[in-house]
Order: sequence, then structure tokens, then C-alpha cells
Amino acid sequence: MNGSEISSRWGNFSHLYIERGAIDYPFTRRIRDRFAKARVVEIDDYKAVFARPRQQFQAQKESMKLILAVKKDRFLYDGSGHSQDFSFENFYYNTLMFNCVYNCDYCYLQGMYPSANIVVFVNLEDYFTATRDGIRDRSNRSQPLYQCISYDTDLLAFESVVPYCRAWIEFAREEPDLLVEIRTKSAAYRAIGDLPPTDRVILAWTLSPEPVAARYEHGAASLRRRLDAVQSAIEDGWPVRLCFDPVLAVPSWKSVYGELLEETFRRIDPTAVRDVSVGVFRMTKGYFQRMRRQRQDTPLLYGEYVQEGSTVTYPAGQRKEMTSFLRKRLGEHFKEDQIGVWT
Amino acid sequence: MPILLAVALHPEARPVIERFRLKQDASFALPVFRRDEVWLAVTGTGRMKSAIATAYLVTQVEKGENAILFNLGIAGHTQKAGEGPVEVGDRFLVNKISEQGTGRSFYPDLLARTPLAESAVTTVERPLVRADADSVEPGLIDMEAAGFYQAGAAFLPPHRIGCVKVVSDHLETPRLDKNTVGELIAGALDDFEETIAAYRTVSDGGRDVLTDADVRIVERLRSRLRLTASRHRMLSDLVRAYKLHTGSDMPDLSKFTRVTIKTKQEGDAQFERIRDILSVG
Repeated sequence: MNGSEISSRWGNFSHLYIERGAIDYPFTRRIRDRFAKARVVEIDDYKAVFARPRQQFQAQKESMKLILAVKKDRFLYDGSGHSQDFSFENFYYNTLMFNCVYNCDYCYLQGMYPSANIVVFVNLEDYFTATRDGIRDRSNRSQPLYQCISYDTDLLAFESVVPYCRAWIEFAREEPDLLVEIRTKSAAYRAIGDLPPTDRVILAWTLSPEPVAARYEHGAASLRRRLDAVQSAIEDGWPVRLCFDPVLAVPSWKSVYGELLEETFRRIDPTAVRDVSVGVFRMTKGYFQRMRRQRQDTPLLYGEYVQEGSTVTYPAGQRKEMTSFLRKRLGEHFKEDQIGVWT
Repeated sequence: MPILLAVALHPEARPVIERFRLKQDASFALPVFRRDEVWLAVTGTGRMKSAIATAYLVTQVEKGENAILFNLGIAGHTQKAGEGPVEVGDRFLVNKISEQGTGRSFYPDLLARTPLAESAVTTVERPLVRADADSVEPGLIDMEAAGFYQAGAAFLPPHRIGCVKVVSDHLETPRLDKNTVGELIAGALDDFEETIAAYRTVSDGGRDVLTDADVRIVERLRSRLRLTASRHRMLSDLVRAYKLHTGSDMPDLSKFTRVTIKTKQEGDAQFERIRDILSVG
């Protein structure tokens, strides 16, 4: 044991774990070509890798592996109560991928998933079939099926690996009763920038104050680059949503978020924005507790929180103050029905 | 950080014992050799024996839950001799362990970059003969890895469990003599040592801001103020919040370790005072 540290960690995606049933899918072949030097391990079921006990999320984050799998069921989930529904009654989301290339200190995925490895489900056609069924069976026929496809991941950030945003945009073009939201913290708009826009897809950017992005949103694009991407999408004619979510009670939050709004609307014409969403930090209690067990190195998980029902969030007074502040400032640019708020 | 090694046979263990200058520790119920932070158990052959000895080692060694755990041993290989790239003496880090008896598979986490090539291993109940080579996944064949891994995974995260195998035969050699086994293992020890060093560089992530000294003070407060388990957790989190938000060391709370508590109410009152001191609002 000479204790030398000549070896290091593997980089991300050094290994591909591929379900036997996923081997022949075109997206699998594409990803294998993309990571031609990766070591390939054949597996029977993605859960045998993804759901191992005692995995360390943050240790894995520094060397994420890619797991390619076939999703067997549950291609459509009811919209979460923690998300803004923008008054769409047929509100659903799906999980094309588990986990995200970014590593935000506050991200609920750390508490939701047992692993930081990224699972890509390669059977996209089955999702399309389920979505068509959902459109057909939706309860409110006067509204479209509103489907968020980038909730438990950041699809656009991964578009160069697996072009799912592109595929869903093309799919939405064929489905008049579908409205898709693609949410991102990336600046990778260029990956879909050649596509003609459609009003059936909302491109949504989560915007955070630069000090928050720099300190807590590891790997995500800077505020400046996100705003550049927003501007490009607007110029190309896309419906764009801006998400100020989660709003964090960082020191001097009022001036920090005030500056964020000023910077945003100095760069972006609010009349060209479809709508905005606001929500303070909130999380399912179980996820929050698991996150705290996994990491004790970020102030964001060790502040003043309260539990309301099964949700952990800021105390009501603080929550109200933060929400009202942003709502008021956004009200200078947007009508009430353009502002989706989680309270 | 303890380094725990589970090795099936004495001839496999001998070169390791010599390399790391381990001495037998007779206080253990199994053959265990150690020096400083390195511990080696000779487990015996078969997955059950390997599982028992591995669990014993992890639980008996102080701070075993913080250990890096390795299985090192010889293995057969399904490839025919001379018909592919794998030769006797080649060594592999295992990336998949299949248990022939149950059909289940296990996957150590491969976070550290090591000098070793990788391979799957199938753990069998009885030595596999060449005629049956097609009945298992191509790769290594051994008799311990699945038991070793399952026992280790009951205590440790998968990135701190590794399995290194040295190819001893192509399922055609009826029995290997002890010297050959020892030479095969000895030839792999440079790579093995480098692999251990690589594993040591990988932390669990999310490092606790509470230092050992902080933990000791919190423990003293818990005992002195008769805190419940929930209050104890809360106190630890208050200290973490204080350190993370202020960037300062834990404030001096030593006066609270000298107070005398007679009732629960007195303990609660002291706890509230500490909470005020640690408040970062």
C-alpha cells in the first residue's frame, strides 16, 4: 500500500449498462456510437444497477454511468401537486430519462432516486403511443393534453446524446390536441434551433440569479448563456416560458432576485414571453430527509424549513413575502393569468 | 480508512501477506492477518464461506463501515486457451457478478480508474468443466465473488467493494499446485495495489461539515442535557446550519456540558438557549 494517488476517477459515461432487451433499439445504437470507448456491461433489468442499496449519490455524480433500458409501463403520470398546472386540467408528465447531467444542490432528484446514474429509456414509440391514448381519453376535451417531458431530468442538456426534444417536437407537430413543455437550465437551444417552431411546444427556461447558478447549480449554464438561448428561441418564434423556480432564501434574496428580474427583462422583451412561473423551494418530506442523509455540505439543506403536510418548505410568512415580491415585480410585465404560482 | 481483503485460499493469501507484511491476529475466530489499516481474511472456498467471512471481517474491524473491501483470487476463464486474447495470468476488475445458483447478478460501482481491464464473473457451486463453458456468460468463473459481494453490500456502498480476479486456467486444468497459485497472485499485486490506491481516492461525496470534534461535543451535550434521539438529530443539523451559513467554526458551547439537568423541562430550556446561539436567521 504505497498510498499514492496516481489513479483517478472515471469521467462521466465511462460505462454503459445496457438491458439485453434494449440492445437492438436505434437510440441504443446511437448512444453506443457516441460513447464508442465506453465499457459495456449487459444487464437483465436496469433496476439491478439503478436501485442497488447504499449507493452514494454525490460520489456517483462525479462519475455518472449511463443505463439504457426499456420502460415497461407507466408512460404517463398525473401532474405533480408541486408543479404549476397553468390551469390545464389534462396535466401530465412522463419520464423519458431518470436523473440529470447537472448537479444542483437543491435538486429533489438526490432524494427521489437511489442513484445518480442516468437512465435513458430507449423505447420512445411506446411513450408516443401512451400519449396518443392520453389525448384520446383526456377528461377535458376543450383543452389539450398538457404534458411536461423534462421534469425529472434536463432533456435539452442531453440532446446531443439522445435527441428526444427533437423527436417530441416532431411528434407534437402531428398532434393538434397536445401541448408539450420542455424545461431546461441549459444553453443548448442550438441543438434544436434548426427546427421550425410550433405552438404545441413550450420551451421553458429555469432562470436563477447568477450567484445562485454559480454556487449551487453545478454544470448548468450561466444566467447570461441561458438568456442568450431564450433570446434565440424567441427570435425564432418559439413560445417561451420563464421559470423562477425554485426561489431560494439566500442572503439578501430580495435584491438578488430583484437583480435577476431586471437583468432578464433588460435582455428579454416580456411581451415576447408566453408566460412565467414562480415557486419557492419546496420538496416532498421523504426526499428532503434522504437528501440530508446523503449530504451535509450545502447550506441550502440546512436552513429554516417547516413541514406542511408531506411538504418541506419555508415558513408561511417568508414564503408569502418571497412569492408576493416576485409576483408583484412580474406583474409589471405580465397579466395575472400569465403568471403560474406555486403557493 | 480500513482496507479489508477477503481471499479464499492460503496459497492466494500468502503473496498478499508477504507484500503488505501482515501478521496473523489470533484474536479473530477466523484466519485474519493485519498490519496498520490492512486486514486480510482467509475465507475458505465457496460463496457461503466467503459471505460469512466477509460479513465477519466488516463487522469485527473497527470502523469497518468506512472500509474499502476487496476480494482477490484466481478464476477460470470461458475462453479456450489460445483462441482469444485472454491468457493465464491476466487480471481483471469485475464489473458484473452473476450467481449461477440463483440467476441473480450484482454490480460493483466502478468510479475509480484502475490499471485493470474489466470482465464479468460467474460464481458457480462446483468447478466448471470446459464442456459446460457455454452454460454461463462468457468471462471469468469463480466460486466466491457472489457470496463476497452480497455480504459486503449489506454494509458498504457499492463503490467501496471491488473484486479482482487473476486468470488461472481455461477450464481445462484439473488442479493447480500451490506454487502456481501463489505466483499468479504475486504477479498481479502491483496492479492490485494501484487499484486499491485508486479506490482510496474516491470519497463518498457530500462530506459532513461536522468534524469529529464537533460530533464529540454534540454527543456530550446529548448526554448532559438528556436529549431525545430527535433532539439530538436536530442539534446536529443546527450545528451544520450554523457552520454552513456562517462559514465559522462551531461556537463555544462548553458551558452547556457542565450544567446539571434534573427535569425534562430544564433540558428543553437549555436546548432552546443553544438553538438561539446557533440561529442563523
